[in-house]
Amino acid sequence: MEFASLPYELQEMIPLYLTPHDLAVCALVNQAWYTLFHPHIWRHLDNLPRRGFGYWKYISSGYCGWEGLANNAHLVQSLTIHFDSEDQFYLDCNQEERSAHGWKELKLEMLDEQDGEDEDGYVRRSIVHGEKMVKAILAQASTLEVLKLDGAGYFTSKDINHLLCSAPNLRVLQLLKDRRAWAGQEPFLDAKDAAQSEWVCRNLEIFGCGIGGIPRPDITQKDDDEPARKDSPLRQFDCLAMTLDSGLDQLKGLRNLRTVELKDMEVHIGKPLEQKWVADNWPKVGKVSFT
Amino acid sequence: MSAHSQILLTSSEGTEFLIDRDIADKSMLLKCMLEDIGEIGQAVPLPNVSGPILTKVIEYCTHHRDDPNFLSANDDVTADIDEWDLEYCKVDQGTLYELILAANYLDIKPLMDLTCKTVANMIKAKSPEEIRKTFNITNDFTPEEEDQVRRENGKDWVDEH
Repeated sequence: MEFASLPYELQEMIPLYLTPHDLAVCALVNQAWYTLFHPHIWRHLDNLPRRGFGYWKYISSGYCGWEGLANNAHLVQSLTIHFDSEDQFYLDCNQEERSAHGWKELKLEMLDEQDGEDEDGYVRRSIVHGEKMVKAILAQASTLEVLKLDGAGYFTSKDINHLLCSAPNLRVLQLLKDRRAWAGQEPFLDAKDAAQSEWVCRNLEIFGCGIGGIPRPDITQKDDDEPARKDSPLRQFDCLAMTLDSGLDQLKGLRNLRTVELKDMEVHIGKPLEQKWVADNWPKVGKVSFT
Repeated sequence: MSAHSQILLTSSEGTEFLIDRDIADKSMLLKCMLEDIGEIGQAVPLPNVSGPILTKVIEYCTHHRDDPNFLSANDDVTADIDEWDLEYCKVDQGTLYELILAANYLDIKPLMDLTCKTVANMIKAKSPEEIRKTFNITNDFTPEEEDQVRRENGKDWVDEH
């Protein structure tokens, strides 16, 4: 009996025990092995060894369009990469069409412990997700469950809102600011984009992203002492409120939210009305914490 | 049901095997069947498993009969195979594939994991040519196609070995 005479579904067990590197070798053996092994190379790219084999070498070889991933993005279901090189990465992805399986988990994170600075004092590590990458991620919204990105500068408020309106399975959304402020602005969701929208992500557990522009009817003056005009609600970015007056009610769809951590809040939740609102609408949230 | 009850199995050639109930219970197929219909006192026919392979499977289940981690033992796909299991899998390729078939049919997950992992270990850290030799496979790619596959996956992937 030969390997090829095993039923196909049993042959398909073998790729589960191999690393992407070994899978890539298998894809070169013959046509049948290509069909069997090639899709698995790109399906789950998690816990990759940081150094020491060809795949990693390729990714870290500099300013990359990330050829392999770009060609095979339609096969990827989950991807976790920890960056610890001093290079700058520009991630773009030539994926125009929706993939066969759909991305489920995408985590591109930077490691904290090895921050290095160059002679000018800048931290050189940086990831910039290019516009194509953002477009490719948005095209995968229907299957996306986890999205964690460091350096999410190219995500605009409208992109984030689009994701929340089109990703029914989204459980975790974490968009962190690029370490170098000038390499990308801080990703945040503008409340006025969200206000008119119907969010579909009912299972969202972690929403890690700034929210800006929440109207503050309780403020009647802007910073520069100009009186606020009655017909336009004041929008300030670093002075947020979490009150029913400010539209807290717009977040009531997020019934699975488990943790709420607030920072830079001008007005904390503390009033009986807001406390009752949280208990009624976010049943899984234990305690709202402030930093 | 007594702790010492025994089950009679018949292999594809009709050879009979009398085994202890706790050994049979390592197979989810037999366990569920015995729970559903009880011990009927007749031989259970296994038309998909030959005598030599059934002997081998029983050897595995007997060695692991008191293993408390039996069902979770091989969950970690990167963990090393223990010495006895390693020795157990030193069989010709034909037998190894027959064991995969039997483990799948009888639904013995740890044996499935062990045998698949053994096949995977025959692949690891080899070149495409070495794999072809091991598995007796002919390369049916044209040089252009082979080049195409290399490019598709990123050119630095497979040049390490």
